Amino acid sequence: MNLRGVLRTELRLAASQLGSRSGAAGLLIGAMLAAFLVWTFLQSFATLADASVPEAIAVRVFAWVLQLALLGMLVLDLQLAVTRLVAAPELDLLRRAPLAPHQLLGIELVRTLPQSSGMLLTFALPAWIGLTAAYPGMLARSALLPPVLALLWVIALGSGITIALALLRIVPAARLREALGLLATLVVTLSWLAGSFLLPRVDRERGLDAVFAGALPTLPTPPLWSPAQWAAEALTGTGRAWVWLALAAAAAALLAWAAAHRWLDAVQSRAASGPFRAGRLRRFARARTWTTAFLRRDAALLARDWTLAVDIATAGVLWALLPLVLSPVLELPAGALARSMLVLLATGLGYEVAARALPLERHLIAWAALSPVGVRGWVLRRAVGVAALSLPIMLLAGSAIAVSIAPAPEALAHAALLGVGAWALATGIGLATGAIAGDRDWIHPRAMLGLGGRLAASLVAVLQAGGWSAVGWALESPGLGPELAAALAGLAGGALGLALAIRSVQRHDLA
Amino acid sequence: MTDQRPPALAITGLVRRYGTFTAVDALSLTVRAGEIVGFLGANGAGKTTTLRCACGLLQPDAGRVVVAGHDLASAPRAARAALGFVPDRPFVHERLTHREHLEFIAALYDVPAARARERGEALLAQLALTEVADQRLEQASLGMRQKLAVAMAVLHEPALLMLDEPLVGLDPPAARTLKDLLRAHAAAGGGVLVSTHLLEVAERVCDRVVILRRGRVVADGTLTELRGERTGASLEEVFMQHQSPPGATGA
Ligand SMILES: Nc1ncnc2c1ncn2[C@@H]1O[C@H](COP(=O)(O)OP(=O)(O)OP(=O)(O)O)[C@@H](O)[C@H]1O
Ligand SMILES: [Mg+2]
Repeated sequence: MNLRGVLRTELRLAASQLGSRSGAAGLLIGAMLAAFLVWTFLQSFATLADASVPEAIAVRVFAWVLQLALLGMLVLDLQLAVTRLVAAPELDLLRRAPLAPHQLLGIELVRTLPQSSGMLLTFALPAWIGLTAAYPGMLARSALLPPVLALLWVIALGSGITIALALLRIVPAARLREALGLLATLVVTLSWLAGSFLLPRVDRERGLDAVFAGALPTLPTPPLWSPAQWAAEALTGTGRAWVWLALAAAAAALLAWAAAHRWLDAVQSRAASGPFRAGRLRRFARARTWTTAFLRRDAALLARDWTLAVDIATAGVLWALLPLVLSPVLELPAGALARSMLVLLATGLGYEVAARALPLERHLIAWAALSPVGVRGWVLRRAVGVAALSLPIMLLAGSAIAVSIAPAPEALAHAALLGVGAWALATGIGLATGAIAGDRDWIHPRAMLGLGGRLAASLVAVLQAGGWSAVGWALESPGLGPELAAALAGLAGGALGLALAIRSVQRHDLA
Repeated sequence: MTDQRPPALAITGLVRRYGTFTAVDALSLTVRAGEIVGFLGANGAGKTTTLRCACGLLQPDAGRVVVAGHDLASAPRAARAALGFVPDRPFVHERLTHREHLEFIAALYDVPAARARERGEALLAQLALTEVADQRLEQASLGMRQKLAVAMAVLHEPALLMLDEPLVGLDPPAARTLKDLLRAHAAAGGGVLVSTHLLEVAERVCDRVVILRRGRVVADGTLTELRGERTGASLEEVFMQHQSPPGATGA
């Protein structure tokens, strides 16, 4: 196989993507994120050095960062890589080419390199910068970092792919797509649980810096047998760690190669053929109005991709519960708690439901320009569909919150008004995000937006959540006037988002 | 006999650029009601670009498109309702069935329910899709998708039917059915504009052909007219003659 040629093509493709407008936006947000992380790690390690924490312990902290990055890579990025491996659109073509399974594996892994290495790079590099800035003695060892990271990457990806292929092999073919969808939901839930476990343990009185300086010296070493620990040891110059690291990488690569050799072809062809269902004979039924036609179609799509529905429901619950997890830290009164839960749920639904509404159309969106419905009519009906799904969730959550947290009636009214405003704004922004950054050829239900789009959407969601919380605190006074104004502002913002979505679809080449 | 009906399609002075490259250059063409016009041209001549501008998928940089008397720019809704388009790659959703596609399209084009059912089932049968009508498109072959795209375009009996290389991927019976469908559509008073590379199909099905070269119309007429003095020349010979710049071959 001409791996060099494939690599060159991929590099050129990546460069042209970065050159595009959404690619540039992603790059900008990525750079901002990186700057923030570098700053965080510079501060953290400087705190350690100031507290005269010895270098060995600082390296231990670094080992933990690597450990978390590896874990994050395994749960968050790996499933994207695996999805790509079994369901990428170009697979049909590649599978017909005279390629051995492990060569195909090689090509697809090269393709996912930017995604699968992101986690490791975004955490390990800033952490290393922070470490070497505070402990200049380590600076000389920087040359060792690239090979160490490369070996870690091979270990995580190799073992992850082996596990994933082994799992997918025993999942019934008809359930493969569902299995991937459920895997995505599971991952989000797990990372949420991990976050909610860690957050309340941040001690508010002493502040983050003090927690760092006080707790880190007593930090245990990561498990002796973990690659992250070997990596940290290798960086501090232990020869034996290099051997372990290299051996582990070789073993992981070998396992992945063997798994691909034995199972990849079968798993891929099952994914390609999809479930075969004998046609259920139906009578031809025409919806009465455009709106009911869209709603009926959406219901069919959601019922078929039920893992998507599960994903949305789970995400909704998790977003709404976030303030509950934070409440021990922030000591929220009932009214503020109810308000935060509703506002966060609304923001989350904008990200989870509204932003997916237009990409979910796939290539049917071309009919927006072709049919008498028109782009405006089409996007408006998408908004109706989004409301039909997310408003009942909001109502349900609102009732549950009213009953369980039981805030005072006026506080509940405040929460409801801000919730409505946040929902409208998030829906408008979500639709616009989907229109601008949506990927009509998405294969992973958690990646219906491009990489840059996803980064931007999460940033905007965080900004909205923060903004509404700030508005909530600022307006906390008797009377409903200011809340009403805020709700109206939210509605106006939502309408603006909707207009932006319409304009964006009108400008897109829909064919 | 003079035809009182407005032309199914009247394009005047159409210009479409991609960046600085002009893909369609001051193109004018007319498709009369009841007429089948073949749209020919080498790869990259601008056929797809023209068709997409004519159906509203692409915004032209200049020019006017009128469908059955309705201006696409000033009366888009009426113009769109009067046209059906079969794209070179079908606009379908993998997770919906053939029948669900037709039901959805019937609603989008406000086809009355009873008529939609009757015509939908008839089209499925005619295109040999009845058996797979309740299967999702992810299981459909290339040809099945193409046939569904045709059914979706003609379901609402548009005054103008435009097809972009519709014969690609069709088996011989399906190709035959499609040709019959085009003839029936024209016989019922509809206009047809069909781009194709299959010259013998154009020769047998089309009343008139328009040949495009680098975004400009270089020939427009019935086969007899295009042959001129070279009676007995095949469409292939006529086509080849129009592919070289004037004077280059001295033909
Ligand atoms: N999105 C685009 N961006 C830039 N150039 C384009 C784009 N689409 C088409 N072109 C260019 O416009 C010209 C006309 O393309 P078009 O697809 O209309 O040709 P065609 O006659 O349909 O060709 P074919 O027979 O191969 O289908 C070509 O030179 C093509 O390279
Ligand atoms: Mg074309």
